[in-house]
Amino acid sequence: MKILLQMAWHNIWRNKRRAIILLCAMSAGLAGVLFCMGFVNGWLDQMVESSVNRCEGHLRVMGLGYNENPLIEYAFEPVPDLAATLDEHNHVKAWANRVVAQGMLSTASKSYVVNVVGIEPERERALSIVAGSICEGVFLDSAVSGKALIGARLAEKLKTKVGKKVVIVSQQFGGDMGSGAYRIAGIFDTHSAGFDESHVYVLRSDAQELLGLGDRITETTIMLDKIEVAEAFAGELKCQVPTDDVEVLTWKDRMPFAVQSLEMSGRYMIPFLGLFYIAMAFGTVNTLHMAVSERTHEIGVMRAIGMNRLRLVLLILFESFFLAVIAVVVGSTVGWAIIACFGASGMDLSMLAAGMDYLGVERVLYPYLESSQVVGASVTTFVIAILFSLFPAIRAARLAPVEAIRQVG
Amino acid sequence: MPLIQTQALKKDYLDGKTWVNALRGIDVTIEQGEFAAIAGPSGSGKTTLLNLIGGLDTATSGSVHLDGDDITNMRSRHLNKIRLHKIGFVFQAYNLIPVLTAQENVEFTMMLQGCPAPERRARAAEILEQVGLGENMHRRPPALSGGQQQRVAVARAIVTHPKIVLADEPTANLDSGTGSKLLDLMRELNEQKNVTFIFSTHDPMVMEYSRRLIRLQDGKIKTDERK
Repeated sequence: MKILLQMAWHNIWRNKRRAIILLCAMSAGLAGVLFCMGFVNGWLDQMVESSVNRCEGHLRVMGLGYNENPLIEYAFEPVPDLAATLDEHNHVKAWANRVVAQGMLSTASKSYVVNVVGIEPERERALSIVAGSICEGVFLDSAVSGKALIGARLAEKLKTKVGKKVVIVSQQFGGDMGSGAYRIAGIFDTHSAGFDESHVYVLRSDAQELLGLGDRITETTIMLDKIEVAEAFAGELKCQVPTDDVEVLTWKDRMPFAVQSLEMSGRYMIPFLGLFYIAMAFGTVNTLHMAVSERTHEIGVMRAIGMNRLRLVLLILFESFFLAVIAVVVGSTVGWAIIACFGASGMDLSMLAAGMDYLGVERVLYPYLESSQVVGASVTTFVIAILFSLFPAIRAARLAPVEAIRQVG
Repeated sequence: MPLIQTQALKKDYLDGKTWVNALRGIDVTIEQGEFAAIAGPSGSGKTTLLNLIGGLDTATSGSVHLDGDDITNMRSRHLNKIRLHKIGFVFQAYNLIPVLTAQENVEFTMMLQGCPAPERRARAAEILEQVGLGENMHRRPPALSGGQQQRVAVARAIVTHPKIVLADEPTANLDSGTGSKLLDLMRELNEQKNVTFIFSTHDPMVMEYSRRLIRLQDGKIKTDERK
């Protein structure tokens, strides 16, 4: 067996250039696959994280039915004792009662449909990134009513700026129309074109007055210290809130598209992986076919002196084994190293800022790889290389010794 | 019991669109310990006869018996075993596995036989010493001369103590001096170890060295002389 392994190893390097080209192609392909996996992982996580941090939160307590049909009629009185529970719980990083409703924002010349978000500025600072995204003016102050924050893109569209007045019109609780005038205190830029175009922040008390809500709110938004505990904590809260009026929703309930994307991320990779594996399979078969053809006489001699077919197949498989091992080690190391490097420093995609903003993803992505993905891609590469080398191996084993010996060179 | 016995051995094969009658009924008997040459011009059938005796090819009709076994229609797997345990081969050129050293080439057949590594290493070293390549045993074939390579091939052929060594034009690519030394070596092994050698050749020097000369012409035995 040692001699066979030794022969296989040396046989690979008989045509160094060919072996190196094949190894480079296999390694680069595997590294590319891993990079794409890491990039998609980072992308999807960032997409969820951005949404959660921007406004969504990990959990929301909302009026029953509001999630499907966001009508102001679903507003509810804050759940008694919920505040105490949230203040005491270890995993709760921040929480706030909010009012969110659709309304029409108008300047003297233009009007846009927006989501009006009524907030408590002190709580919102800990809850979302909006306070940290002010690019002009200042954040809201709970002591100063009649102020609004609008997104940079909306400001641009409305051709308005800090200090100017806007009017918000919305349907009130009970069916009447309410309106209010607000002076722009600040402009925010969260790097999400969709969000910045469609959200306006005012004080919660102002929003409650505009919408005729009294003390009612439309949601309690909760930010946890880690996303993984959201489901478990939602379960705990469900036992505490009156389920005939309100419901507890996790970010997954609120963002089904993101969840679906996460679940489908493996499938997105199938065409790319398929192409890589097909190319690699052809490369392996082709290389080993050439190697076998060049050694026909030698194979004939080996068969003549008594080497059986099984050993010959093993010899070719060992060659493929060595190629696959080198390609997997190099490819997975390079792929992992690239992802680790970008994972630590972040991939700055500022040059694609406009596109990233439209997708609602941060401009700096942090790709990462699950160990199962590295193992999965490596094992698949390895298995395909071995499986496809069976064709040239069987072809070599089927050569009749007398015919093979006649071929010289 | 003769070591080799062929009866009415015929071999036809298709060369392009033409059927060639390579052997047209060969009856030959070879005893243990013979040092015989099968000679004849190109196309006379000498290599075909050697291939049939060695179980590398199958006959169209007739029979071949090797050491009492009828190998004429034997299955490939069994033929493989016969070749491994009873026959040593020396081919014209490109005989050795180029990625293995001389010693590993000699060990190769023993490895196929399942011989333990320490034993085969010792035997390979010993036989290479005998053929005068003790100092070159760790060299790979490309670093050896043609004569040295053929000596390694002979060492590989006899190291497993086969009943017979079949050598297909072993001196064809060697100069006369080197060819003569190789033949000396093989005759010495024949005399000292009673290894049967059969050559196919058209080299007069090989014919001169042999103790039995079987001449073929057009697939038939023309003469069969013992010296």
